[in-house]
Parts: sequence; C-alpha cells; structure tokens
Amino acid sequence: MQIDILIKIAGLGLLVSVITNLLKQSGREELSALVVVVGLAIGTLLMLETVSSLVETIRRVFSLY
Amino acid sequence: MDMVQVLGVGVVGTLLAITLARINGTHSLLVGLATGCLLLVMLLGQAEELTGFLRELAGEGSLPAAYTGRVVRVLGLACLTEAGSRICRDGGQGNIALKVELCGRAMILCAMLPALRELLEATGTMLRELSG
Repeated sequence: MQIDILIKIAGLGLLVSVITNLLKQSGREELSALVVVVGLAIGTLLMLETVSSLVETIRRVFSLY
Repeated sequence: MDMVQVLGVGVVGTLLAITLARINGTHSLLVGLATGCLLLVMLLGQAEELTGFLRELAGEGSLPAAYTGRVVRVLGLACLTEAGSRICRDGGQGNIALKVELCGRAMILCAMLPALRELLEATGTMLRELSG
C-alpha cells in the first residue's frame, strides 16, 4: 500500500520528538539536536523513492530532456 | 486513478500533517511533501493518456509535432515548478518559493525560445511586407 510511507514518516516524527524531549529533560541538548538531524535524514531517505518516481513519471509523461 | 485511493491518501496525509505540525514541524512538512508526491504520481498515470491523446490529435491536424511537444514540455515544467514552490511556501519560506518560481519561469521561457524567435521573425516579415 502506498499510504504506509506517510504513516512511517509521521511515526518517525513522533518518535524523534519524544526522544528529543527525553534528552532535553535529562540535560543533553547537543544530543537532542543530533537526533533531530538524524530523524530528518531518515525521513528524507524514506521519501527519496517517492520523489524520484514522481520526477521520473513527469519526465516520461511530459518528455522532458 | 481510483478516486477512493486519492481521497484516502489526501485525508490521511492531511490528518498526519496536522497532528505533527504542533509536535514536529519539519516532519509535518515531510509528510506533506510525500502526500503531494503520491497524489501527483497517481494523477500522472492518467495524464500520460491525455498527453498521448493531445499528440494524436495534433498529428491528425496540420499542427507540427514539434509545437505540441513543446507545449507538453512546458506543461511538465509548470507542474514541477508549482509543486516545488508550494512545498517551500508550506514550510514558511516564501523567499525560496519565489526563487523557485522565478527559475521555473526562466526555464519555461528558455523552452519556448525557438517558438518565440519564429513568432518574431514572422511578425518582422509581415511588417516588412506591409511597409514595403
């Protein structure tokens, strides 16, 4: 199902925010910033396939390049 | 394109993005981007038939195939530009969105440059014939 990528990214976002809050409360601000960056990278990697399929389809349909 | 599927993806994506917006803004933007990409991929499966029909129609008429090719290409460029700039604007970066739109416009103009040149040449010859 295509929709599972949305749920994956949303779950990742929730997880990242929970971990960030926990780390902040335990006084590790620098680690929480790192977690945010890593979460963003993983989310972008998850999306990469969808975005590339979109760009490929647009190229094929509209005969760009 | 199954309309129920489109509806499902759109509504679920919106709900997830709204829920995440307060907790984690960046991931909410990512969810929005993924939803938009999924919907556009669904749409373009259908658009392929449409552009094929457009080419067929132009082939039957007297319109040169190069012109329809250019029009379809500009359509694709406009679609990509709009998608990109809306994503940037959703993230609150109107400045970047404006630049993306500007680049898209410039690229569309570049894609239509041969047609523009032909139009100007035709206008020039017409004016010369009228005055001379």
